[in-house]
Amino acid sequence: MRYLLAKSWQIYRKDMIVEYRTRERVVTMFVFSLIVMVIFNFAFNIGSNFIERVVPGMIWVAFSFAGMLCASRCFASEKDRATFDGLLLAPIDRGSIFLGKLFGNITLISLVQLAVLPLFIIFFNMTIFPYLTKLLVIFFLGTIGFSSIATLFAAVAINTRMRDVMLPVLLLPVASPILIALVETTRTTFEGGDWQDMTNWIRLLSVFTVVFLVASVMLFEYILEE
Amino acid sequence: MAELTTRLRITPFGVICLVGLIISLYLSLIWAPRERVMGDVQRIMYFHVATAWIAELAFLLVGISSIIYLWLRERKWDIVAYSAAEVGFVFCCFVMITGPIWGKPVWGTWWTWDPRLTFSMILWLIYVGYLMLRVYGDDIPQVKTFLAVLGILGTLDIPFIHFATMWWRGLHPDSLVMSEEGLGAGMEVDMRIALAVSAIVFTLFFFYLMGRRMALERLRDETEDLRDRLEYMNNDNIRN
Repeated sequence: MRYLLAKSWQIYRKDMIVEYRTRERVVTMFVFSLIVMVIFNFAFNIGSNFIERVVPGMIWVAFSFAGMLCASRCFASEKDRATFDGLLLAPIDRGSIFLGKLFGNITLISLVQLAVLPLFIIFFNMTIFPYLTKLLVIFFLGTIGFSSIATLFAAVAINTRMRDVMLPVLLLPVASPILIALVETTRTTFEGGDWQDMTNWIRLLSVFTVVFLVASVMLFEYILEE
Repeated sequence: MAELTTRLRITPFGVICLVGLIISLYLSLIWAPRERVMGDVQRIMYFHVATAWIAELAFLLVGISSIIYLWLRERKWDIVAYSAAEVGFVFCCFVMITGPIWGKPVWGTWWTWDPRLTFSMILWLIYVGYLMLRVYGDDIPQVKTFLAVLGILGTLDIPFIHFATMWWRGLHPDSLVMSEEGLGAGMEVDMRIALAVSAIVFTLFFFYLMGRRMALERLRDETEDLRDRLEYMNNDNIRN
């Protein structure tokens, strides 16, 4: 286990250095989320009394699509630069490649969330400070759960002919329970609800995250074999 | 060649299915009593519920055979998964078509985002993704593994979708009226018998179709094999 984590740290470090130098993923995700925010504003033409109900949906549409961009790029860049074979030849466990990529995706998606969420709050004139701990828990669970299946499906989609289309088609239906749970918990939080109002959802989020994280680590090995 | 023709002949199982379907049609369309409130349109329920159960059963089969495929790496389990998915998808489409036909006169709307309907919609989309990957991924060597992974994740996902859709709408009291499908305690004995027969017959029919689909896939493999051998022989001749 320790070995696995040590090796995945190496992969993670490599990816973060690449990202630090190019900044391609963070910037695209950030701009994409902003655009989603602006477009949805037109689509819903939101009045002030609807904001708490609509904005959580917008937030998670923006972040799930940005997350797909991120997951897809983490393998696409390796494929495009032909470094993927090198990664496969490295004498490490396949699970550590997955974990490294997953930690990378979680980090980058969280960074974008940190940057974009305040903008949502500002542009839609909402308050966030009383709900900070709740949102932190929700975003933490949701981002790990979503990223783990997104990373796995990105590894599948990258091999298909129409990789950009295949990822959402495969991922979003499977991710729908967690997306429903995220929108509902975020909405309850913004409406001033307490933990008791969302016990079921938090349970669903946690179980989903654990089940799919474990399943992804186990199944990733099969995906990479030639 | 003789082998091929025997495989495609009418089987006793097929005859049983045909007779069963006719009996089930009679029971649900003529024999079962007319529902007092909804009228004859309620009769679609006998097919709707029977096929809905199969749509779920089929995906469970996809998941189980996917696990066995990853474990044993035998082509036949991939065929089982593929056939179950394809035939299951047809049944799932049938559910999605019969639902609105019944819903329009009874609920006054084609579609509502009720838990069961949302569940079927998401299941249908997972089927679509699975079959799309099968069709568009035919040129990649590891596609069978990918499909097995997708099948397993999809099956793992079913309970989550179930709970998520239930809690999502379950909190709203007005949806309880909408999800009332005339099932359960209020149903007369004759209706229950008709539904049970329909469910059993459709399950048999599903397995019959699946068997035929598997035979077709095996024939395809055989054809592919023969073609390869032919090509090999031709190359051999050219060389000589």
